[in-house]
Amino acid sequence: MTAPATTASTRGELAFGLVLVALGVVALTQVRAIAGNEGWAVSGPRFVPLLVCAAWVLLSVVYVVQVFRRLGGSGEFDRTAALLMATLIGYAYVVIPLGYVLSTAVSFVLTARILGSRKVVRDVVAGVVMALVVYFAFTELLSIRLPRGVLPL
Amino acid sequence: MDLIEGFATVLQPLNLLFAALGVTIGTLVGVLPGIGPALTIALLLPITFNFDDPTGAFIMFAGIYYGAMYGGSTTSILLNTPGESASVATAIEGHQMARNGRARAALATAAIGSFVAGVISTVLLAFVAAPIGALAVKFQAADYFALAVLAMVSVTALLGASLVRGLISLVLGLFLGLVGLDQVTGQVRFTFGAPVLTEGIGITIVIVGLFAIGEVLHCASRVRSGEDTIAPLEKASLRTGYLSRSDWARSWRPWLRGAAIGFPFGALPAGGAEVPTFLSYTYEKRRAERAGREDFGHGAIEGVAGPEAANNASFSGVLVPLLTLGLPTSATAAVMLAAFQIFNLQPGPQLFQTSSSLVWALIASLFVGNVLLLVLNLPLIQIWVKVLLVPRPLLYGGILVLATLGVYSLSGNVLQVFLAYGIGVLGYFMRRYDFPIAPVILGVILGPMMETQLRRALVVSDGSFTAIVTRPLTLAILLLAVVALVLPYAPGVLARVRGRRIETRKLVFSDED
Repeated sequence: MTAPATTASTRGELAFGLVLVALGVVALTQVRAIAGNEGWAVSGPRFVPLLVCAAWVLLSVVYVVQVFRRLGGSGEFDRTAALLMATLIGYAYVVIPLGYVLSTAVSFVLTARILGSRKVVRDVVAGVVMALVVYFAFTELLSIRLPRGVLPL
Repeated sequence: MDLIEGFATVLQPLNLLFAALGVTIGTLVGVLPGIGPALTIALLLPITFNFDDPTGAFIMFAGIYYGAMYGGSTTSILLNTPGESASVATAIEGHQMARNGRARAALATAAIGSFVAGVISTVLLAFVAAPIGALAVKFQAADYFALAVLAMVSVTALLGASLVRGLISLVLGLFLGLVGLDQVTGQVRFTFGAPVLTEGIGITIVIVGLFAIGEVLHCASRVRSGEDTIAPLEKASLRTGYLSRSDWARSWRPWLRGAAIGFPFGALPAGGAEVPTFLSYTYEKRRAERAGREDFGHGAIEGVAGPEAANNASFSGVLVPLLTLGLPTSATAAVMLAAFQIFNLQPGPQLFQTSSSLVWALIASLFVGNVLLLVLNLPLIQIWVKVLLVPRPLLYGGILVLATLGVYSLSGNVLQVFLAYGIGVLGYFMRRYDFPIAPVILGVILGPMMETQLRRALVVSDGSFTAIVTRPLTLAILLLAVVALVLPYAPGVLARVRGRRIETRKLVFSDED
């Protein structure tokens, strides 16, 4: 393992890399939402976005792997990071159908648990409150639509 | 002939006043730590909203640019906080000079070098622009696509220590450029249902977010360490104290070499001033080492004179693709393009026919801006340094206020301000983890153009990519892009082929890592 200071900043890099991967996956899924008669034609409005988002996901995965290697890739850390990435990607997939509040709260609790928290009640309260505050702040104050999903909000 | 008419326009008293005003405001804003020329012009764009005549506005912009660039090198030298990657090279030796008590000489060689290189490169611009404009009429969609690819790839490959990080920066920029209405079919893309995103994310929002807000956040995260202190200016008499005889002797060749490197690299669509400034720095350093001198790293005046000259010369160079092809290859050029669009002017092959007098007035104003810069800034440097004496928290607070105001007055929309803040947070993390910023900017400005031209070419060829690779000009430009991608690895590969051990795996034009 590297010196403590380096490890701390490398963990930050890892987190940034994972966020990049997750955002890239979200962007990639949004390519399908682009309407148009051309479908997936190379001269249509989906082709370049598809390339860009695919490159985004690919490059950020490479980046995460690079940071991993620098960490020395201890087994436990691998598992934590892999679980985190899986959670983020899963989140990206359920956020539209389940809605922002439910999926955010659930993945918040999951993330906290993966990172070592064992206080489930506290995590649930924090996750639900945070998700609700963000949801209403964005939809009511900023009128930016967030996915409503299955909850009757 | 046209240039003389241009001078006649610029030398009218009112336009001269605009130029002087531009230089002064530009220096004032540019001297703020972390604020470079592109950001300064972006923040000051709204000033010209009420101008009836674009000529006056562009004369002012030229002044603002030169002022901001000089202000930026002042801060780089005195504080070691370069506002754009183009002045990073200057900061390396310049700040060392300042710490050795030679701040005034560093500032003088920067100013005079900028002037010399600016005049030379503007002459070249005046000669080269019209012929290239005539040539550019023959360019087709596929060529524009290839040029955009070349500009993006070369900057990404040549800057920064990690190709992966550079490419991620580029991809993020390309994505930001995709948001909003598709230019060909009018479909909305990546708006996530938010109306504010429909019109797209403007380049000024991205520049303000990444440079101003990202920089303030970055500084805020280490403000407690209180590392940077202003190097004091030594006392000097007005006439002779700036540069000693030996300073002159050591400066004039780097100025000329800087101009010789800066203009062609700026004119090539290879993304502005970053590459030439580092190239000039590396070259001067190699020369000094070969001559057996070891003062590089301890304040060698050549390390300021060369890169500053290259920086200024590359701006005139960048104007070549901007004016003749409508192709902005640097952040500053992109903001200039935004300024053109405010006045409903479209740079490109037709510009020299449709707005000939404006173009020549702009070129003439570059000369005038250079002169004013020298006349106003060299004696007034004490005043600009006072700006840096403002306490850090107030200074950064002021930058935030200025940035917010700039975005709000450009867009008239609070949501755009939030968008800029969000991009600023991204910029903060990118800075923190050594992701280069320049590729993001190029992705945003060139991405939409690259896509539109690619699709236009593909429509003509019925969706077949062969049209792109069979046209010789297009293919040649794309091959150049491949060369740029491979070049940084060439020394390492060559050494390995010859069976020698290698120190570095990638050639890097930056001081990071």
